Amino acid sequence: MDFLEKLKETLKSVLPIMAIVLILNFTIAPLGSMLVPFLIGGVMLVIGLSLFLAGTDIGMVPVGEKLGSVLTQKRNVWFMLLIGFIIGFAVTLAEPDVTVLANQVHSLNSSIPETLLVVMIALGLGIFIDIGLLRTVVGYPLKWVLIIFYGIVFVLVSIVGQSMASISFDASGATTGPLAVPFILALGLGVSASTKNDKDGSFGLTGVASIGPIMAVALLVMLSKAGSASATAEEAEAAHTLGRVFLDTLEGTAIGFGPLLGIILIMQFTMLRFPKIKFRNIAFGMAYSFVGIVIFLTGAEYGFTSVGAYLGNVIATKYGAVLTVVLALLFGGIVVFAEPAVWVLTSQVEDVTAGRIKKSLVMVFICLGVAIAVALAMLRIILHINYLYFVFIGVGLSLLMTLVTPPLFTGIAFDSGGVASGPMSTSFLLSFALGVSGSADMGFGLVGLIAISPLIAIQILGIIFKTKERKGRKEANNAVAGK
Amino acid sequence: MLLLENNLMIAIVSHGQSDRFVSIAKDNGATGGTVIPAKGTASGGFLSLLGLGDKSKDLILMVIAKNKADKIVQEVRKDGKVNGVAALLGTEKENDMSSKWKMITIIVNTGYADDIMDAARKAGARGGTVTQARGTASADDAKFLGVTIVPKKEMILILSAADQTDKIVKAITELKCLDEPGIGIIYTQDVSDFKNLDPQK
Repeated sequence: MDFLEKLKETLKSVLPIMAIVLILNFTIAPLGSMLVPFLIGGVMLVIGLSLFLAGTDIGMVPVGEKLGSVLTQKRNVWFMLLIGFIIGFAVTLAEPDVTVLANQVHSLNSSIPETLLVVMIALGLGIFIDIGLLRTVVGYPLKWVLIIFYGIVFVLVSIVGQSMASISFDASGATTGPLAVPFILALGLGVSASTKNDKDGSFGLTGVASIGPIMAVALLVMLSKAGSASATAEEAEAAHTLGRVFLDTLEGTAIGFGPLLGIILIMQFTMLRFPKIKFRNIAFGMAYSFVGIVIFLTGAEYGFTSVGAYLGNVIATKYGAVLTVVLALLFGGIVVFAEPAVWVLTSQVEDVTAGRIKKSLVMVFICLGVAIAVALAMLRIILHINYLYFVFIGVGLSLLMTLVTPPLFTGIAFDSGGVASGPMSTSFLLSFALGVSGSADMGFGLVGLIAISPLIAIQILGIIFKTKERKGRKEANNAVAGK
Repeated sequence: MLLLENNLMIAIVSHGQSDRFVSIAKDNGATGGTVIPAKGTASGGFLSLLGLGDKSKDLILMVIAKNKADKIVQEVRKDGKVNGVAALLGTEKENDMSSKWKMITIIVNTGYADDIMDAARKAGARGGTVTQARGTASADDAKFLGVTIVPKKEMILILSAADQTDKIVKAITELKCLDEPGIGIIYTQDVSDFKNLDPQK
């Protein structure tokens, strides 16, 4: 059964981070009373992630793909845009992470009402899902869409200044929760599979969609003529019991999942009309995903948040900058293996390319990218480098690369940006960064950096792929000519 | 007859084992193969009731000289690293009227495979393999924003004993959810040889 294989795979992806933390535990940073929660958390990650992945395969993914193809086959642009917008808007509005983010922004700049910000982010996502859908249908090159809109983003963030810029980029990571991402990915696949465009259109919807929140936050900050940013971010909450964390997570996930589930149910009876047994399987799949992600998030929050903060603090204060950066590199690389959405994206890449681009290959490159991003983020905290440099160089470079990267890889790259910054980044890595910096202000922007790094890493993979294939073809031609 | 000397071999193996299979086949006279990712459906029971029965599979298509087929299957089984089945399409020459196995192929709009497999299993099928495909667009196909729309399809392959084939086909064609025009097609083919690739004891 696939579930057992999934269990084996996820075990392999969670074990490295467990191993490193345990080694640290027995050498330089004893965890003390945090050890048991950490181990429980690790077990929950494995079980939750396997269940989630098994569930998305039979639940969220088929629904998203079918919806994509039905929307295209209706051949009514306005209808497609309406549904796309409603999905993006409703899903974001309900996402608990967005509320948290709005809180942070409000604490930095009290002239921005939280509700307005949440609505703006939701509007931004809805509009950019529409832009992404339209692009997918007509097959307009992804690179121009990205270059145009990121160009606007550049202008906006350089006006709002670095602390707001970092929050804007974090917003794009926070908006799409782990249940919505597989759905949006599948929606893009469904739309592109029903058109005669080649595979280049399959990816990129998530990437385009995540521009929306960045713009929304930056735009709102700019219009509100911000007072100076003064960081008074809230203290990390006190230690939680497992039961408390579980109930909080359950509530948050249920609220986020509710609207999406409602929309899907309405559509099942109006336009999707899955036959009986398929629908039963989908219902099971959704249930597995939901239970799985709740277990996963609980484990991450309960076992990993405090450990991350503690390690960051101990290592930065006792062992200095070099070890901090090295460990950040290590953590960044291996924590991404445990991000749920990364698994969904990479297996879809393998499916769409019929195995030509292997799952493990994409994953390794995402890991490399994130490893470097987290290390750079530590450097930034230690050396107090301006965040805007990272944004301009990072995003600027990735935009330039779109000009030479094969379009399929550009799509995968910008989608990976959205998926790499998931619950593991926010629980473990963000806490680690906060622990290192000692103040909440500098921790902002980490999630955004994590989201930027795969843009470059995956496009490098694409360029390598292109040169290899060209070389291979040349050799084959030579061989034929030689005969 | 010259035409029958090359046959289409279809092999269905666990996901990731196709490279191994193709390389063994190449060592034994095959020229190459095409690998398609597919989904194997469970042979019923509790797991498929929970929706957890599906397994990732690789579907391998290979055109091979007929007399090489046995050797390839033998070597794969001797190697012992591949799990799956292989079938050789086409009528057997020796007793050409009736082959013992048949392959049922169903091509339908996407989303119906689970229901079709459920009906097929109840009629005696042991399992099936599902791959994603898309219909080819004809000249008068629908356009949307200047782009041709093509329907997504699922292709389902079921290998069954010849005496059960009719029953399975009947069960599928009688499915209520398939009761709309243009939803898909079903056909059967003779299979001259059918073997398990599981490791030799």
